[in-house]
Amino acid sequence: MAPMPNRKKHCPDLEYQIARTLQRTKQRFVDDFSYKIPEIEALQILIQNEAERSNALRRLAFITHQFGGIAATLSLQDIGDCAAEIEQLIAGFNQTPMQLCSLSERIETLLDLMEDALVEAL
Amino acid sequence: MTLLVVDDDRNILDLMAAILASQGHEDVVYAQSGEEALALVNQGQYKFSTFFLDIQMPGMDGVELCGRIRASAEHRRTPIIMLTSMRDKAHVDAAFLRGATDYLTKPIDTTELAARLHVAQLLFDEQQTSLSAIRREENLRLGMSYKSYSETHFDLNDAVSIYDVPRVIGSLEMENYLHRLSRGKRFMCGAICFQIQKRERLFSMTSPLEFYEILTDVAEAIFETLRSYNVMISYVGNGQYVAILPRTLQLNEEELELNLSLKLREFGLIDGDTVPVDATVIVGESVRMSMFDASPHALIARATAKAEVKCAERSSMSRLLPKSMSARG
Repeated sequence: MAPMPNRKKHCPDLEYQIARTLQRTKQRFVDDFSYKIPEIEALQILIQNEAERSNALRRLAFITHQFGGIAATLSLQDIGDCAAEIEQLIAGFNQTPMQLCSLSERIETLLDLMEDALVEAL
Repeated sequence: MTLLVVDDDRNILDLMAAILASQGHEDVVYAQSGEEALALVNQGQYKFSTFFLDIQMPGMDGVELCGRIRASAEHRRTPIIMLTSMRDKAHVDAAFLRGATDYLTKPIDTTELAARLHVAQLLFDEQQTSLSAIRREENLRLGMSYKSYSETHFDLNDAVSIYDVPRVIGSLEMENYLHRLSRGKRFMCGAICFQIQKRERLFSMTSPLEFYEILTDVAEAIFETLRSYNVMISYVGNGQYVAILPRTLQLNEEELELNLSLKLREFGLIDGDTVPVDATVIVGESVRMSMFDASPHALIARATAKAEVKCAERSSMSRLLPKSMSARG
């Protein structure tokens, strides 16, 4: 992405402007799901493989951390909560089969929520 | 005056642009990495009045960036607000210890953001109008003994910043830190106050620089005495320090006083060459966040009040002691 030390100027119709920015950001965030869903699915498979697990978890933690930061602000509270839950599960992950199972379940839920948002945005 | 917003997520930068514009902030510069932000700071093209830093970013993270910004003399006091999804205490502690002024968590709450930014801007404006106070702190920090009295003078009740002592943060930062903690788990911490006994006398007998050295030594002794507990310490003025402790930690105040006294002797403060004044530190009873009042200000006030009471008790006891001894004799 291009570096952007840019200056954004004051707009007269600010409420309209902020609503438009929120809408545009939400649209871009949800559009990106069409790339993120296959990536998360691939990560979910890699997590089952012990040799690949560590890197896959790191990447998944990064993605869910970003979701957690922005989703609720864009009125996608469920996605934000689910992503935050996954991030926490990864932070406390001790490689037990039970944890792996609950992590997989939450990833499935997140993927469902993302697909719903994508369909709704169409 | 320009704001700098740093976040690796383009969506967050777009949102911040819209939110800050809606709040009337026109001069805002954006960076997508710690490295890019640091280059902008070092370039000196903009005069930044507040920084917003994300924590988790690839490459240089926000906590590291915060420390690097603080290292530049120009931004030693410029407000730095962390804006992050990291809610755990370890990240909150790390950010404040590297010099953060405030800590906000995502998702972005526009009302809270406006309020905290307003406070940060007020702080920055105040710093600009009281440059003599900034110069005074710099003179104190660097121990410039050749400076005149007026260039180093401060009042006893001034909460002067103590620099270069681990786990010691400013009094405003301490309030913000407590505010952040109280948002997470409301009653998770307690506080204990350390008070220099006969502080007025000590203050009047020493030069500002000498008194500041005493304050720094006492801060260091408090840190050394509590170092195994990972506490946060702040000098709150009036010869008083407040340390924030885990709620469940039980400390023996008499033992702490003894250890502090030993540490201060070790530093050569008491009967030593640097400041030949007998400084004693009283440890007040520890207090906890109350479910009826979890405000940072109330916690600090209750802790300092406990130390005041104990100090007053000690003073009256020491006044009575010679009489009772002579009565016995």
